[in-house]
Amino acid sequence: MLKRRDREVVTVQQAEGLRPLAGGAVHLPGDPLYDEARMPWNLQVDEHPAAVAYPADPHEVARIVRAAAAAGLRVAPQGTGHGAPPLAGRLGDAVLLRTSAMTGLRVDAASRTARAEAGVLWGDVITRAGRVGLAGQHMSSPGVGVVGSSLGGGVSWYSRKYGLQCSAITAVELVLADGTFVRATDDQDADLLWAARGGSGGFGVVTALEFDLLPVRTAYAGMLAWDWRHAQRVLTAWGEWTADAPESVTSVARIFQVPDIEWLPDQLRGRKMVMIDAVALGDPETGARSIAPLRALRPEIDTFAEMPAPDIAHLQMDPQEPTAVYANSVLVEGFPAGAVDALVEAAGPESGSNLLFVELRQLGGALARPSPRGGALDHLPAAFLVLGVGLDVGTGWDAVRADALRILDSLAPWSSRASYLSMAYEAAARRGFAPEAYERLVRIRESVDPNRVFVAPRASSGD
Amino acid sequence: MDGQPELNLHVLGELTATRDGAVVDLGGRRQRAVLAALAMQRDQVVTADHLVDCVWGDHPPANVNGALQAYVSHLRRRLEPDASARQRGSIIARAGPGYVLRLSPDAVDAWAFEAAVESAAGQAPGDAVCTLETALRMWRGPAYVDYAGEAWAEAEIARLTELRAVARERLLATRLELGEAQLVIGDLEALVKEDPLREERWRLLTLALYRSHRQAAALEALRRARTVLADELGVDPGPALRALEAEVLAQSPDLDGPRPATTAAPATLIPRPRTPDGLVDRDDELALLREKLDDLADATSGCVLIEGPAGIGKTRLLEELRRLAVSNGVFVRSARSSALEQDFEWGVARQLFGAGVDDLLEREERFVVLRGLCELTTQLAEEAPFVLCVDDVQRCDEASLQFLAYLVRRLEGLPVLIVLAMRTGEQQQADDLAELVADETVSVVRPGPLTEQGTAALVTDRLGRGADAFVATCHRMTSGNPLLLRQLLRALADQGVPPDAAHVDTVRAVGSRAVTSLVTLRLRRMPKAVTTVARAVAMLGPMADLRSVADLSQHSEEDVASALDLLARSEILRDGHPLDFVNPLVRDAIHADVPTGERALLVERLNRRLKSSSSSADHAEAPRS
Repeated sequence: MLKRRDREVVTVQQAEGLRPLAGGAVHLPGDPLYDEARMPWNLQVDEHPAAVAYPADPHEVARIVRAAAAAGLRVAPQGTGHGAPPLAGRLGDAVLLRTSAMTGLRVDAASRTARAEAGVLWGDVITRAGRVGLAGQHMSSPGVGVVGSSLGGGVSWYSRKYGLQCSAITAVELVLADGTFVRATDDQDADLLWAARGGSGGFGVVTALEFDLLPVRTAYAGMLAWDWRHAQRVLTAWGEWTADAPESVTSVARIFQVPDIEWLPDQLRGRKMVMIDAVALGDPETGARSIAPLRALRPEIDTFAEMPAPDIAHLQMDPQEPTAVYANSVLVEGFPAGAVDALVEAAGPESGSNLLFVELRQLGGALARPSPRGGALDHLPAAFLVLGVGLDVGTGWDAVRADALRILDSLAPWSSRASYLSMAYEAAARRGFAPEAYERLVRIRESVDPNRVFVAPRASSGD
Repeated sequence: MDGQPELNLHVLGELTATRDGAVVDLGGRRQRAVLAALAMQRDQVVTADHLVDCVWGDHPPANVNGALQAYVSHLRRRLEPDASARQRGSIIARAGPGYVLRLSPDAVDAWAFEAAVESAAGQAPGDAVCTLETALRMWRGPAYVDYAGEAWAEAEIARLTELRAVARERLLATRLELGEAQLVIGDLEALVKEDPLREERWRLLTLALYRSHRQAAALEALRRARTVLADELGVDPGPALRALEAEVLAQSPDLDGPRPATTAAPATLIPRPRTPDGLVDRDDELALLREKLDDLADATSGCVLIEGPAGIGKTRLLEELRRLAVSNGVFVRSARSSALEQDFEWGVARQLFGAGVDDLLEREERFVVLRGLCELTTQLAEEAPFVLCVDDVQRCDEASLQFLAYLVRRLEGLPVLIVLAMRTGEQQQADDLAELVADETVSVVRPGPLTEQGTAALVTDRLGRGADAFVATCHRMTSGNPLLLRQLLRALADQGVPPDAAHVDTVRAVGSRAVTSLVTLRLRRMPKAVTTVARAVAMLGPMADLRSVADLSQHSEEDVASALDLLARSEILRDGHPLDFVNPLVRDAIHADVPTGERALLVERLNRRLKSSSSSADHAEAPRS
């Protein structure tokens, strides 16, 4: 095996032919903008691909894919790079094809649909849709890309009522390994649309998606917060409350060691809290009734109010600028008293945990029922998604990872065998799908990319 | 579609309309007159009779009502192409005996301009400056210029022209109020020159000079005002000017402007650029140029060479120098070398001294001409000190360059300031240029890349206050090159990208295309006719004008005019005459982007045109192919 320096020389020569493509927006190792261009949103990933390209349309994508294949290089599409970790260590002989230059967005108020090109962010969609009284099933940060998060499933604040974002997809446009352009719908190339609905990608470069928007203009939403001394009491009550909560309400409970960062609210900065964020669809009175039992727990902070749908993307205060984070998750079947004890012991006041936060996202409702449209991922078979996120606080990433795994492991007795791959970077791909769906995905990929031009979304080991 | 497409009507200049930014073909001059007449009346009904008068005057066609209806229906089809014939009419609506224009107040530039000028009156000075500057930028030429001289348009044109004059005065008055006295002198001089009978302009100029500690100049301005008013109108200055004169003589404390703001609130750390291509991070360079101008006033000569890579802002500095010189009452002679004229002997000298030196330049002996030009320079300098400006001197013709080098060595004691701008990174340098650059008496200015703060200021100006990560990425992607940054910001603004931290990778994506491909990419997204027009302008080079471009692109002059308008708005073409690209890099990029087939066709048309037009075309008019 070649050392990295030697390999770089080899791949630079291979990639040299890509230079004139994409209007010159191709950066090779040693180029002045190479380091700038190769950095994903998640700065924990520090990859040195053979080249980074920013094509602006499907024609440019096709030329890059063909040129890369001809040069013996592979292609890894990437949007913002929020989901970059699974690519770590696998891009040395690949062209990182970043889709951020494809920024076309169309919102059709009459048919309640959107067409978003691969560089569009959720914030762009909901701002535009919000002007005509519609919402999109965005993720917890407005800076997340639409295409990447949709291909991976997409659990949103509206999921308990409307299901996964990937089930809202009605058409996918992509460039295949041989450079052909396809627009797949339920009627044409339906296999590719099926794979795009939650299959995590890896079968082409998706250049645009069409999907349904939601008739949501405002919601009753906000945050309740307590000092983390109350974690046991609050999480127990919340766990019981979720059992009867209506599908119109989606909530997240978390233990949050809030960093002392300037843009965070003063009453939170630098504190350790237990928090419940929730979004209730429908009129504010009904919403207020739904969360009344949580309010009865006497939170120190209560921000619930009727808010315009686009503001909901800021509820969780995720950082928008590129940040280095470690994240991992498990799915659990329930959150009974024993699980609360285990979690508080692992991540609460006496735990010694340094994790930024561990949160439980309430699933169920429409998420538990297979989407009538079908798809590689058509439902999530669990009651909660438990997500642990850590920053390097000076202990090194190995310690952060160990901390997260220890906390997630504390819920092992209640966890599911399934994984939600978009947030479980270390899980084997097979665990993200029903067995027959997984086999079908493998077959589709085999038929459209027999030479493996595209870097698989996950390492094959453990497949 | 996302609701209704955005329709905009532009009347401050040639009459054009855009739909979602794309130029709408409004048809011929008469057809557009219907729209012009409706826009002048705002939301008032305009009778069919009046429209007929506007369109045809005393010579209406036989079936005049039918003809008018045809124009209206054509316009409707252009303005509302998506609606069915039956639904059309929501913009040009039938009302009683005539028609009415139904557009939102901000959809017509003249309406928006008026509203902005009104709202500025009630704003804090800082906001008012922004409002007025933005409003004044809406003007692309004289209002309703296509109908200048038509009786029916006269009143509205005069009203808008007056409103613009007032807005310009208010803008400078407000800036004066903000303590920018020294900065507004040049603009006020220009205003006074334009219309010396407007006393308000003299008043502001006097005040600005006084506040810049130039009492003598302030009194001199008042004296000029008095003379002009007496000569032209036979009247004495009005009470405002007379009161001012008394106060200047008495050094009244009432005349003192506000103290410059001393608060250093974080928001004020970012300097507000004064124009879209505001000059930031150039304090040292400007200080040197000011110093040289002051020296000139003391009859001390000087030579400054501004050198740097393409896009660093050399031309912008020369513009600023010209402005400063004019505000000091110093005359400037300018020339710009071009590759086309490089083989054209004495081209630059001719630009500098005008046709008066033609006979001298005809002389065979080079030395005689050099001596002659030097003598001329001396004579001119004895009359009044002046500045000689040559941009892109690396492309100067060899003879003129020799003159410049010759002059620099004989400058001492002559009140002449020579300022040359030279692009670095071009291949070979003529000996004379190398000698000039090495001359010890020449002060060399090398404008550096923009700082991150400078970048932040321009981001704020174009997109709104930018997040730190956004600004930092803009800065890194453009390496602080102002031209690249402007092109990047323009492209981001076109796509409506908000300057937040989430869009960092969009900046990388858009910015990682070199400036040239950014421009050609934007151009390719414009209507086909606009692309063709831009290519024609690039092929024609300095001989491009409305007619030649129309000829070459084979579009009507109206279409070419609206395409040129869009290109100027998109900052691909320079705004104004002669037709030129904002930067030679942009021209080269568009020129190189012309597909081979189209290029051959254009060259052939160009040659045919050259042959038929005249046999005296000198070699400066050779086509670029």
